[in-house]
Amino acid sequence: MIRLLSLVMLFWMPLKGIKPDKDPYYVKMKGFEVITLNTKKIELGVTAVFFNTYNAKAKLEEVQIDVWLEGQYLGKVSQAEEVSIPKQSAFDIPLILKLEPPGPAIKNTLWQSGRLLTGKKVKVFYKGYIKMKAIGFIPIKVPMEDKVEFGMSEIW
Amino acid sequence: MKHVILIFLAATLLLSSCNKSDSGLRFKAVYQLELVGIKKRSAKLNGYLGFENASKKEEVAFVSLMADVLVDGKDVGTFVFNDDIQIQPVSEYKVPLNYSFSSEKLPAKAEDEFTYAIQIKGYVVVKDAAGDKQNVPFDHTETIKVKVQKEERQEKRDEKKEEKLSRKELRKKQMEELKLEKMEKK
Repeated sequence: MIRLLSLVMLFWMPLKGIKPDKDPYYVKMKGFEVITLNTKKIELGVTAVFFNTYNAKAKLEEVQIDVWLEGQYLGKVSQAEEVSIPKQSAFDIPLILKLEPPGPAIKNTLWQSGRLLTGKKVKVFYKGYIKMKAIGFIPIKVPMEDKVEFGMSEIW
Repeated sequence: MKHVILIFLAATLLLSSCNKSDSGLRFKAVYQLELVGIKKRSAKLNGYLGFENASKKEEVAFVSLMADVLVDGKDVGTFVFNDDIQIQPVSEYKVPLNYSFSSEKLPAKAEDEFTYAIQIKGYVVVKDAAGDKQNVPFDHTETIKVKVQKEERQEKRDEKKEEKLSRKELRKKQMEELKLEKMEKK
């Protein structure tokens, strides 16, 4: 019994030092850019910033973020490259949104890009979550929701 | 009548200028900024971001800081710092900047060039006495000389050599002293 208790203590004590008072959270979206824009293919890039409050490194497991442009659903973003998550620090997740033609989303995007050329601003809405694992086995789900307004100068 | 208007104007100008100096937190400077430990995968930016509470009466509650870090105009990451501290009137608060990022994001440089333009651009969230949150923006650019690992290694080697030499000299002295003592005893 004492052995069992000491084993539990052995695992519980280090975990207590790792677990933070505040859960990891979403910080902001930045660096919206148009990678490819033509009638056949549209690729948009953006970077999501999150903060790891854990006192341990983590591994990014899943990114599930939906994107809307001026109320029109565009699709899901995918992770552009591998990300290492440092302890108690902000980390960037480069994301990419690929639009497969033909569809209303691609037409809307082209229409909005035309609006941008006239100097108007467009609204992008993001909603979803990321899943990560701290020290290899603690699952963490970080929800996010944000509305970003940008103009031509912020893209090119 | 003209005199009254002039006095009134002077008084308002004086009062408004007094208010300006009492505006709360301001960005002051970046101290000891250095880019160190550039390895294959990571690099580290160290330093302190200094903010001063210019107010003569009210203290300011520091909540958080968020800044984009750019190297030669290229975004390398975001630095976030949270704290719960009251900054006293007419005093400075230094935010420790210990930021690690992927060195793959660093712009490629020729071997004989070791300078980078570091830009730290963001804002500090503060709370005033009424509990209202305010953003204090700041933007700082500084060109710094980067120490390449080769140089660092050489410096460490030289330091170790010096240490070894000094130890040897110490031992020699001690041995000589011991010999002298023995001779004296004899």
